[in-house]
Amino acid sequence: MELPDLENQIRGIIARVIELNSEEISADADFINDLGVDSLKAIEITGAIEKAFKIVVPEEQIRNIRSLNQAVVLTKELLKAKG
Amino acid sequence: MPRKRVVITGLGPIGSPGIGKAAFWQGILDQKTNVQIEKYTVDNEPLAEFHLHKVEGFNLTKFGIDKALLNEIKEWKEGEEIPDLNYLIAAVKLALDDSGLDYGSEDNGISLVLAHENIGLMQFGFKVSNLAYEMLIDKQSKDVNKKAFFTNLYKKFLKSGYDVQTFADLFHVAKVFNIHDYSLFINNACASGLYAFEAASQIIKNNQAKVVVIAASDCPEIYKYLWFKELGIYSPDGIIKPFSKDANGLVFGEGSVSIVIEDLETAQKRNAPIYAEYLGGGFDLEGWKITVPQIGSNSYQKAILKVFNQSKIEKEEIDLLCPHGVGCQVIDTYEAKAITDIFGPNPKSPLITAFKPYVGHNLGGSALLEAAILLLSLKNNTILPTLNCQNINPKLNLPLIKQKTETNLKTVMKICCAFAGFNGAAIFKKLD
Repeated sequence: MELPDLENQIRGIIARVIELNSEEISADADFINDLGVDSLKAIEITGAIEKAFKIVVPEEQIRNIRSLNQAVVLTKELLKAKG
Repeated sequence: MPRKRVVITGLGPIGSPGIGKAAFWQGILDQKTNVQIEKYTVDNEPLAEFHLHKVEGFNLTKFGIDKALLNEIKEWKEGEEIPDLNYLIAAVKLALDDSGLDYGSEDNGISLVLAHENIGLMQFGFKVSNLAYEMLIDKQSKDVNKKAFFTNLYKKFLKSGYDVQTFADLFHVAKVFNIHDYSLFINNACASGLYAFEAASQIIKNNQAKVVVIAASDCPEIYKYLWFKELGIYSPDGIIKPFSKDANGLVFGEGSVSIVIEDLETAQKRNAPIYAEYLGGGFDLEGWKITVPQIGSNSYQKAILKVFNQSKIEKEEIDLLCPHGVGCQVIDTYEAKAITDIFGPNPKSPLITAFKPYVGHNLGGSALLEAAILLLSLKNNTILPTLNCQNINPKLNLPLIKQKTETNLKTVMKICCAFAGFNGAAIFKKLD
């Protein structure tokens, strides 16, 4: 999957979970400080990304996903590791 | 053949409020939480300290248990006392005595189900670490090769290392009480007690035994504390505040509990004291992550709905509900969602109260220990308040009992959402 597609797909997932329009989610926006995402929503986002891409996010990484960019990088890494 | 009915005829709780049914219940009523600071040192250097609900005045040799049998266990443990195993043995003794059962003969017909997350493993890990350190120091002055290092390490713990396996603890406890019938060891994290209850009831329903002793315990220690602290789920102020805006984590609670169950006919024949009937359990394994519940899943709801189906009880019949109530924001929210999905937001019924602020989090023993408090509440027609809940999170839509109330209770429910997604529910009802 091309990076822009991946980014758009993840942006859509995040937007759906936190109930915002996709355009409101910039790549570097901090989930907690800029978008009001709490730890519960972060877990929900992780679950939705896992389901969409059939990947497994390590537990200790969940709290490190703080922006769309970070989510994209991690997803890309996990997809690559999956082969 | 009519389906066997399973009743509870003996309770043996040990926790910070007290040791044994009477003292324990009085301690609960007096809100004796006994939170203290546990300090760990290595070579007199402080390693860590944390709050915990402490058991006071426990001495296994005072329970009238054959010392030769206790010495045999000690020999297997190479002299080391394993507190949670000691608590388990004492709790079984208390529960059997409470039930009035005679377990003196080899043919006592009693089964055993133990629940724990892993007895003695942490103490064993500490011993191994200690010896490894000593040998490493020695290596600095002598040329010790790796093979010799490992050979010495393994040799030192041949027996006690083997004894860390959970079947050995099943053996030790069974031997103390002449138990020779069907036996099981259960580990489903914090929900172990509910899984153990269901497994034990199946033993009776399948005619494997007429009486089953269930026992569960856990013991707080430094490895678990450090891990929980790292996860951000250990309360720094030592106060469990279930479903509170100020909830900042759990606090360990020492102790154990044993519960005797038997089939109704056997219990009635011997005029046993009957606390309640176990109507059934409902279970679901979310299986997403070990330490994080899957927000948005309906696994917990499924477990609760399954128990209604198993027990042929309508949700409106539940008088009192005891949740896991662990005092961690994420888990509390996950749990509150499941409860309100089933019973509606801010339900007037059932009444809801959480017990961890009284006894702490007894981990693998917690669900069974709290089920015992629920059974004592049922027997005494008393609804206990949830302590430390002055500031309930309004977003959770979950009312908690704030005042002790005496009222006629008939049907009560214990639920638990454990690590790894082991979700469980159990319903108990007073006999008509």
